[in-house]
Amino acid sequence: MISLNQVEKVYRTRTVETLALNNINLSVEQGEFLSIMGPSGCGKSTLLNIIGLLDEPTRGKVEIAGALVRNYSGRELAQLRNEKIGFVFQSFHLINDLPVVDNVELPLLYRKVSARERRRLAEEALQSVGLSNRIRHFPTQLSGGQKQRVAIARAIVGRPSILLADEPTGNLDSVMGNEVMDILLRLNKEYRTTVVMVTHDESMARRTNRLVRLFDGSQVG
Amino acid sequence: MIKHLIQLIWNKKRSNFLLTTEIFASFIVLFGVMSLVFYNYGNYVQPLGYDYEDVWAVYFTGQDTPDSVFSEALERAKQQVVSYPEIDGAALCTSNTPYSQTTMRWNITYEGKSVLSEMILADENLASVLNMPLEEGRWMDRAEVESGQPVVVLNRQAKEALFGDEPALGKMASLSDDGKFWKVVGVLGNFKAKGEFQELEPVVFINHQSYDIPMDVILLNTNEGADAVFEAALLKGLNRLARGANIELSYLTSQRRNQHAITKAPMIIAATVCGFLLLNVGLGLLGVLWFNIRKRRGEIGLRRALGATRGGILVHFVSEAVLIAAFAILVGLFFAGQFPLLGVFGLDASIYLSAALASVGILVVLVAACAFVPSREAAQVQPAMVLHEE
Ligand SMILES: Nc1ncnc2c1ncn2[C@@H]1O[C@H](COP(=O)(O)OP(=O)(O)O)[C@@H](O)[C@H]1O
Ligand SMILES: [Mg+2]
Repeated sequence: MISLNQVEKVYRTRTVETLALNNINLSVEQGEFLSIMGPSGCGKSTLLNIIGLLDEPTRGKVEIAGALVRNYSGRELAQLRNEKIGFVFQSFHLINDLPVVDNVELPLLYRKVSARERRRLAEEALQSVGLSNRIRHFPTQLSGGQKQRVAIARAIVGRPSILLADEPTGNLDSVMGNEVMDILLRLNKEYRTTVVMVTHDESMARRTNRLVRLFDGSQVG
Repeated sequence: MIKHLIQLIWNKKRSNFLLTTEIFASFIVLFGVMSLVFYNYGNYVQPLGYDYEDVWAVYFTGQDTPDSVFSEALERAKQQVVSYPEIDGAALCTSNTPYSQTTMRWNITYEGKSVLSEMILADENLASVLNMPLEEGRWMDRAEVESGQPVVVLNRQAKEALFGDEPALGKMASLSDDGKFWKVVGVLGNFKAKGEFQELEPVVFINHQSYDIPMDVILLNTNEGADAVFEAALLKGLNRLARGANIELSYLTSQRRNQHAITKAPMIIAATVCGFLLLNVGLGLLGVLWFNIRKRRGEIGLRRALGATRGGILVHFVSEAVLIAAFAILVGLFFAGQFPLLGVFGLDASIYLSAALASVGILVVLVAACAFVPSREAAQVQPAMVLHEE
C-alpha cells in the first residue's frame, strides 16, 4: 500500500540546511495500523507529508497504492490525495464558519458527487464516529474530542484507503484520546483502512500493529 | 461549490458587511456617474445641426437707445460688414445665439397642441451663415423678411412634437394669443442651440420683422482673412455706426469651450469622487483579502490536502470576492432600478440600463483584479507547512 525506498528530505533555507529525513525505508501493507514515534523535530510530520503527497522527497522512491509518485502532476496528486488519502491533524483544522456536516462534506466537494449523496455520505461518516446528533452544530460548540471525531469523519467520508493521523490525540485528555483511538482502531478493522499515526503516547502506540521510531530523521527501530 | 461559497460568505456576514456596504456605495455612485456620462454621450453623438467654426457673434447692448434707432443701427451695421472681403455672410439674430447662456422659451400652438420651444428670431441670412441644411421646404426669403410676413422654420424636434408624421409645410401655427398665425415654410434637422451636450429640443425660427422683439446680435461668417487686425478694424467701424449702443464681439468657438466646461465640470467632479471611492474599494478589498487569507492559511492547507489544486484555491478566493461583490451589486441594482421605474430625472430607461451594465462591468473587473493578487498568494500556500503549525 505504501512503500518508501531510501527516502531523504532536506530543507534548505538561506542560512541552514536541515536533513529532516535520512534514508527511510518503509513499507506498509494494506490494513496495517502503523504508529510513528520520536522526539519533537525528528521528522515525523515530514514523513507523513511525504506519504500524504503534500511534499516531495529530495531523494528516494515513494509508491502509494502501487503508483510511483514522481510521475504525477500537481492536479493528479490533488486527485490522489482526494481519493486515496484521509488526513487527521493534531489541531483538527475544522472550518469554524461551517456546520459540522458541511465540514465533513468538504473532500466530496473536490470530486463529482451530487449534493444529496454528499449529505448522505457525511451523515453516515458522522454516525460512524458517534456524532449523528451534532450535524448542525458549529465546530466552536464542540469539545476537543468531538472536534477530532468530526475531523475523522471528514477524513473517512471519501472512503480513502489510507488514513494519516498526525498526533490525533495530542490536544486531547486521556478519556477523549482513547475514544478517538478506539474509532481509529475500529475503522482499521472494519474497512481494512491502512492507518499511519504519529503519536507521543506509548500506550496508544502499543495498541497498533507496528511501531516505527524516528530519531533525527533516521529510523531507529 | 457555489452553494458552499455562498454558505461560507453568509456565515461570515459580519466580517463581510463593511466590504459589502463599500461596494454597494461605490456601485450607486458609479451608476450615477455613468448615467450622467451616458446621458451626455447620447446627446453628444446627435448631430449638432449647424457650423460654429469661424462664426463671430457681435452683441449690441444699450438701454437708452430707442428700439427703432437700435434696429436701424443693426441693419446698417449688417449692410456694412458684408462689404468686407473677410466676411462671407452676416445675419441678424436674437441674443439666444448658439452656445449662449440666453434662452427664450415660447409656446408654439397648432390646433390646440402647444409645444414649448426655443424661439429664435432671424433674418433671411441665418441659415446660410450657420450652414443649416433644410430637410423640407426652404428658409425665409428676403421678400418675406422685408414685408414682415409671418413665416416660421421648425427644427425636426419641433416639427415632430407639433405635427407628428403629418406634413408641416404650409400649416399655420400661432405663437401668441392675438389670433396671428405663422406659416411653416421649412423644416431643419437637429438644432442643438446650447451645443453638443444639449438634449434634442424643439426650436423654432421666425421672421424677426413679424414679431415685436428687437434684434441685438449680428452673426458673421468669417474667412481666413479675418485676423486680429481685421477684428480691430471691424470693431472700430461698427462702433461708428452704433449710435450709443455697446458692442461686444466673441467667437462661437470660445463660447463653445465655455459651454463644454460647464457641462464637463460636474462630470469631472463626480468622476473624481467616484474614482476615489473605487480606489478605496480596491485597496479595502486588497487589505481584507490579505488579512483573510493570512488568517485562513490553515483552511487553505486543509483544502489542498483534501484535493484542491492550486488553481482551485485561486478560483475559490476570487469567486468569494466576486460573490460578495455580486450581492452588493444586486442590492445596488434594486435601488438603481427605481430610477427608471419612478421616472426620476426623466432620463431615458436605456441610459440607466447602459449605466447599470457599465457599472456592474467596472466593479466586477475591479473586484476580480483586486482579488486576484491575494488569491494567487493563497494558491501558493504550502499545505505541508501550514497543516502542522499550531
Ligand atoms: N518547511 C520547512 N522548512 C525548513 N525546515 C523544516 C520545514 N519543515 C520542517 N522542518 C524541519 O525539519 C525537521 C523535522 O520537522 P518535523 O517533521 O515537523 O518534525 P516532527 O513532526 O517530528 O516534530 C525539524 O528540524 C524542522 O525544523
Ligand atoms: Mg510534527
